[in-house]
Amino acid sequence: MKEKTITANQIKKKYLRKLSIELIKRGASNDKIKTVLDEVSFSVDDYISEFKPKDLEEFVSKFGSPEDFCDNNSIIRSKVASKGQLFLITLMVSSILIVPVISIVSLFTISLYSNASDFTTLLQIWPYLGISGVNTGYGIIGTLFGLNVFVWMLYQFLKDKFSPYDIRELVKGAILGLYWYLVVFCLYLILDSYISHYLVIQDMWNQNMKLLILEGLFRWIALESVLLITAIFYTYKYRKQYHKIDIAKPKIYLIDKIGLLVVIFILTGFISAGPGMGILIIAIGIGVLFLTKFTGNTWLLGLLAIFLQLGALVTKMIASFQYPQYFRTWIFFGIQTTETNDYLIFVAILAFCLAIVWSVICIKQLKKNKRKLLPRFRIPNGKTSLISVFLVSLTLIAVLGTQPQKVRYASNTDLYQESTYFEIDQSYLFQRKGKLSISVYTYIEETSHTHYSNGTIIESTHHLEGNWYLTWTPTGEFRTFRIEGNFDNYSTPSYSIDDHNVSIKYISLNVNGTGVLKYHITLYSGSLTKIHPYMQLQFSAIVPWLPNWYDIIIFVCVIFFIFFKWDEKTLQLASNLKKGDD
Amino acid sequence: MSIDEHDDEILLKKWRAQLSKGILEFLVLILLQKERYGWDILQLVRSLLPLTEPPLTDGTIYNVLTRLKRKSLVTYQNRTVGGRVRTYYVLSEKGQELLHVMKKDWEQLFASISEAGELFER
Repeated sequence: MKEKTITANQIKKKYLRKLSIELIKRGASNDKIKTVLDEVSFSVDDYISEFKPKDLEEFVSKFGSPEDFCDNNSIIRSKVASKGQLFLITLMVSSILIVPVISIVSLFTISLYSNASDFTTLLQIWPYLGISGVNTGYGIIGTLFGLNVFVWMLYQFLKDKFSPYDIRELVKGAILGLYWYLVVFCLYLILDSYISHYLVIQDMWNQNMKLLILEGLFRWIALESVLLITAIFYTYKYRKQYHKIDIAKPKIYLIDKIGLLVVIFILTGFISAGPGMGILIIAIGIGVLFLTKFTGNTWLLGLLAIFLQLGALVTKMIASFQYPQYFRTWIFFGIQTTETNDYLIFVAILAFCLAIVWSVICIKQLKKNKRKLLPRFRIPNGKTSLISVFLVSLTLIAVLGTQPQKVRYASNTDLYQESTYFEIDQSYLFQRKGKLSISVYTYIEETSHTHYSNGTIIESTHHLEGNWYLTWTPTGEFRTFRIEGNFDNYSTPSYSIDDHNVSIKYISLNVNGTGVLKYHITLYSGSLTKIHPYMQLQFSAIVPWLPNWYDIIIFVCVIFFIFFKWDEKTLQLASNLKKGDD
Repeated sequence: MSIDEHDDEILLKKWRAQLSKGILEFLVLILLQKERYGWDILQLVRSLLPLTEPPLTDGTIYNVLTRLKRKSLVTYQNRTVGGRVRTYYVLSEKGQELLHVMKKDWEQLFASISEAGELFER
């Protein structure tokens, strides 16, 4: 009996999927496709229960093929409309592909640029060594947040547009899969910053910095919780929709309300502008243009997206042997410039022009859709407010302050040269006030000339000769901190060597403003010909829990969207008209 | 076959398709003045509209029943006959009212066509 039910369902699903393909081919409108499929699903149910076909072929031969159905119901092929449907499908597929493509490309190309975030890492290239800067911290997570918005926007577009029997409904499953991919990816990045640098965490913990560690953990947990909670909600809703299709009464969950989530995710994504973010904004812009209904929310979000680009400041270091210098650059819609601050004027004018164009489009659309231009105050219901406040609080906790960050610098050049010594300088620019907790680990490999030429690598750190120092120089001031030691002097208290890890144990600095942390190594190579320096540094800053201007914007926007709503224009009542006439 | 004949055939096909589509719901409503089940309706519709182009499929006729059902124009009942579940349909009160209006429209249409014919004969 159960088998028969499954077969009947399968026949129904397969037939309706085929019918949806035929309707798409003929260029039927999305509304028409949805209506037809929903209606035919009932007919198929009745027909199957009465005639009990054994398989799809038998069913089609009696019930009629999708082509026959379309012909009988005068659904004629339209070349223009079918091209439109093809364009829509292409947009959907490419929108989904953009998520894994951007995140994977980011991972592979991250070493190609000096990434920027609240904590700006920098790339300093010593003339003889190819050292690339890597920051797997905020950049990618910020980008993923942005991608979440885009994926969610697509889901919003799809969730009501298609019948559950539409072939394009499969896209919902793909979107859900992508969402989980983002959740897991983010979790990996979070765990990685703790697991791969557990020594630093251990150092900090032993130095009575337990609260700092716990605070950082709490923030990461909050961040991941937001992602997990939403992912579970979406999955629950998706499964419910898929297994128990109720065409007549689609239930709207709070989680489906795009405004709130867009504000949370889009703005948290913007907190740290990376090179990928600009491209994402364009993608989101296209998404908004094509995929959403134009409301006041759309207008406001578009304006925010444009103007937030003005905050996409990047501070970049340039190499200097004596003193690392830095200058600020801007990323605007994904384009990074090496120009100085004058670029801001250009960016501001461009943003202003874009805002005008965007406003004109939105106002026209609002008028066309008979919507009011100004929002109306409304008192939200208790449940909505409570959940909104919960999600916003969780997000703010996650983004305020700073989580432990890791920075990894690795040589990407296999050095094979006769040289008496190597010097490596690595500098980091910190932009926030607070207390920095730093541990530095340098992974060093050495190989003798003989073994190297034989293709054999013998790694050893027993014969290290040289010295190191670590300095802190506040911006525009003289150096205020210096710690140094020799690699062959084991009496240096903060220096230790274990296997290949040359470690400078936990150092704590009180930082009153921006400045540069510089790590310098000089190694006398002697008979050694290959050195593969690999430096890892983890830091965590105690920063005030006061919000920055991005956080304030998030808060204000969310509150605004909770209390204000753009209504549809309502027709004037006849009685009112009469009064007016009198 | 000349081009004109071919065009005429296409025109005739289109006209028949439109005609059968236009009267399908009307015809089913007429048939459902008496309680009938799915297969019975299918056979009757086919025998009454033999020239429909393209031929009416079961799906199309069943879809008409679904539409009438969803609009509460018919009431239905499931009964098991010979181990099979059959759905029996009959006009609802709302359906009868609609049929009454449709019949009047049809009579009017028929009268208009007759009148047009008479005009030609004069």
